[in-house]
Amino acid sequence: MRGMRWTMVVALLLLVAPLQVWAQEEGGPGEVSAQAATPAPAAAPSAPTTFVGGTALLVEEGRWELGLFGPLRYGLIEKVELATHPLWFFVAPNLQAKFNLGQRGRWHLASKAQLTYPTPLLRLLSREGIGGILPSDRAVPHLVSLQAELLATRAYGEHLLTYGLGVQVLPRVGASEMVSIDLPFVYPRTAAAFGWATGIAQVQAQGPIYKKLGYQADVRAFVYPGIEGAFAVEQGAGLRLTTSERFMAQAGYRFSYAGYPFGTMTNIAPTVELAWGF
Amino acid sequence: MMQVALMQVLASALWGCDPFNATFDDVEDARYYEAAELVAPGERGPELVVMDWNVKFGGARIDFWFDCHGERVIMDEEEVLENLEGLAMKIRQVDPDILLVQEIDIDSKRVAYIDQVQWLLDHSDLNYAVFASQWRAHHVPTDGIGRVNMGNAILSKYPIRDAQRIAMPQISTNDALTNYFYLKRHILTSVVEVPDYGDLHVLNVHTDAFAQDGTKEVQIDLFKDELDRIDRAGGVFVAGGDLNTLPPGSVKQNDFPDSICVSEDFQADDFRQETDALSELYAAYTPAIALADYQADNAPYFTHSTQGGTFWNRKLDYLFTNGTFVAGSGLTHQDAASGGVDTMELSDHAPITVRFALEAP
Repeated sequence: MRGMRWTMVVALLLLVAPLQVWAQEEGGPGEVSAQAATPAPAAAPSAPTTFVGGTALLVEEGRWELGLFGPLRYGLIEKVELATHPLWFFVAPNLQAKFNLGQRGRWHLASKAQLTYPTPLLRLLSREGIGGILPSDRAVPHLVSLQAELLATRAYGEHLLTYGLGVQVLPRVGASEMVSIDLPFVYPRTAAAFGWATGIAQVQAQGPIYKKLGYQADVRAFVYPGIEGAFAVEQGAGLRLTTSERFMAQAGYRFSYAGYPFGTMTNIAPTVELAWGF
Repeated sequence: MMQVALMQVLASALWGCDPFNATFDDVEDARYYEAAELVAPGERGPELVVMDWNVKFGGARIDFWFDCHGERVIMDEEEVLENLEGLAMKIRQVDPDILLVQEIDIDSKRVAYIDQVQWLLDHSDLNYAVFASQWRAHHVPTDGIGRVNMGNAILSKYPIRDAQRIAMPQISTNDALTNYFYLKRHILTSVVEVPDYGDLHVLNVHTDAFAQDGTKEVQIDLFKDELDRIDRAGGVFVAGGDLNTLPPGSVKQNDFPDSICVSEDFQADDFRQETDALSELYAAYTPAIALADYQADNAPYFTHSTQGGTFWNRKLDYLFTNGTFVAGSGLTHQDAASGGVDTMELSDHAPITVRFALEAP
C-alpha cells in the first residue's frame, strides 16, 4: 500500500508540475524561471524542430504536424504544444499538452500531460460477434486516462537523445465488470485500469544517417505493480525519410516482451508512419 | 496511447502467416503433463476402468453465448475452481485408470487461465496426461473470447508415450478468415504403458458439432481409419470421445427441447441426415454400450443436453475397443441412480465408463 501511495503522489506531482513551472515562467513575484536559473550555453547548437514529437522539443509556434496514425500537433505558443489523435478522437476523446520547461545546460526539458476518455471505444469493442474484443455482458465503466511524463532531450549535433519518465492513472467511475485486454501493446497501456498506476520510462534517439535518411529508435518500459503481469518492455526502431519540413515517412518494427495474466509473451510487429507539417 | 496500441494490433495481424498462433501441422507431438505428486496406483485386477467425459471447460451449467441460452463468455477464477472441484469429485469417485476428456482448457481467458489438465492431475489419482489443442489463438477477436487454448486430453495412472495430434479437415463452407480462428478438430493418439500388460493405444476425438457440409462424417471416417490402422498392425486400442452424432437406431433425431439456437452457424442438433454415421464403427469394434441395449431403450444412455433444466436427451459420447470390454460394464453416469453422483450440474455432457479386460494382446 505504501508503494501505491507514493506512486499516486508522484503521479499527482507530475500532473501539476507543468502548470507550476509554466506559472513560474510567467514571472510570479520573487520567482525565478527554470530557464533563467541555468541559462543555456551560448554555443549550444540549435536542435531540430520538425517531427520531434517524442522528444522534449516542441513544434514551433503556429506550426501543425499531422500523422497518418500519429497525433495532430500544434504549436500554440512558444512554450506550449497541443496534440490530439484525430483518428480516435470521436471514439476516444483525447488531448495532450506539452510544456517547455526550458533548458538545464544542454538538456531541453519538457513535461507532457495527456487526458483520454476511452470509454466509448471500449464500449464499441464490447460486443457480440466479429470485433468483440471485450465480452458484451461485462459492463465497461467510465474511465479517464491521465498520463504525465517528464522529458529531457539533449542534442548531439542533429541527433537527439531523450529520456522520459512518466506515470499513468486510469480512475473509473461506477461499477466495473470490465475484463482486461490481454494483447501486446494494449495491455500495458490499459493495465492501470485494474490497479493504481502504471509507471513508464523511456529512452529515445533520433537523427540523420545520410542526407534525407534518418533513424528513430526507442526503448520503453512499463511497470504496473500489483497488477497481473507487472511489466512490459517495448523496443522500436525505424528508418525515417524526411523530404522536407513538410513531409516525413517512417517504417520499422516494434518489439514487445511483456507480462500478462497468463504469463509472459514476446511479439514483434511492423510499423509505418507518414507525417505532414505545415 | 490508443494510436500506438491499436495500430500495433493491426500490424501484428499482418505480420507473418500465423500471427495469432492459431494453426497446426498435419501431425504434431502432443503436450505432456505429469502430476505435481505422483500417486502409486493401487492393486489392480485384470481390468482397467476407462472413463470418457466432455467437461465443457469447467463451465458446468453456466449458460454461455454459444448455447443460445445465455450471454456468458468469461468465468471468474472462483467459478472455474468451484466447477473443477465438481469434476474432480466425480473423477475421484469413479477412480479411472484412463480418462479421455474433451473441451478442456489450458490457457484461456474464459477460465481465468487455469491449466485444467494440470489441475485435474493434481486433484485426482491420475498421474500423467497428454493434451492436443482444438481451439488455440493468442486472441480470438469475436464475442470477447480473447486468448484461448482448448482441446482434448488423455489422463492416465500409467506413463504415456508417442502422443500425437493428427489434424482433421475443417468445415469447408467457412471462409478462410473464419476457419483461421475456428475450432480445428483432430485425433489425439497415444500409447499408455500398462504395467504387466504392455502397450494400450488410447485415442480421443471430438468431431464437429456445427458442420452441415459432411465434414463431421469425414472426420468420423478418418477416426475409424486410424483405428483400422492400429488394428491391422496388431495393436489394441481403447478409443472414444464426443462424436457429436447419434447411434444408429436413435428414436429422436431432431427438435430437442433445449435446442433453441436460430443462427445457422450454431445448428448442431438435427441428426436426420446422418443416421448411419456410426454404423461402420459399431460394426467393426466393440462399444462400451452395446448397440442392442441402446436400441432397446435410448434414454438410459443419453449423455448430452445443452441446458441444465432439461435432462440428458441424446447420446453423443462413446468408447470403443478392438480388445474386450467386460460385458455389461458400460455405464452412463446420468445421476445418483446411475453412477452415484448427480452429474447434470457438472457439465453439459454425462461421463461414460467401461471396464477394459486386460487380456493378452
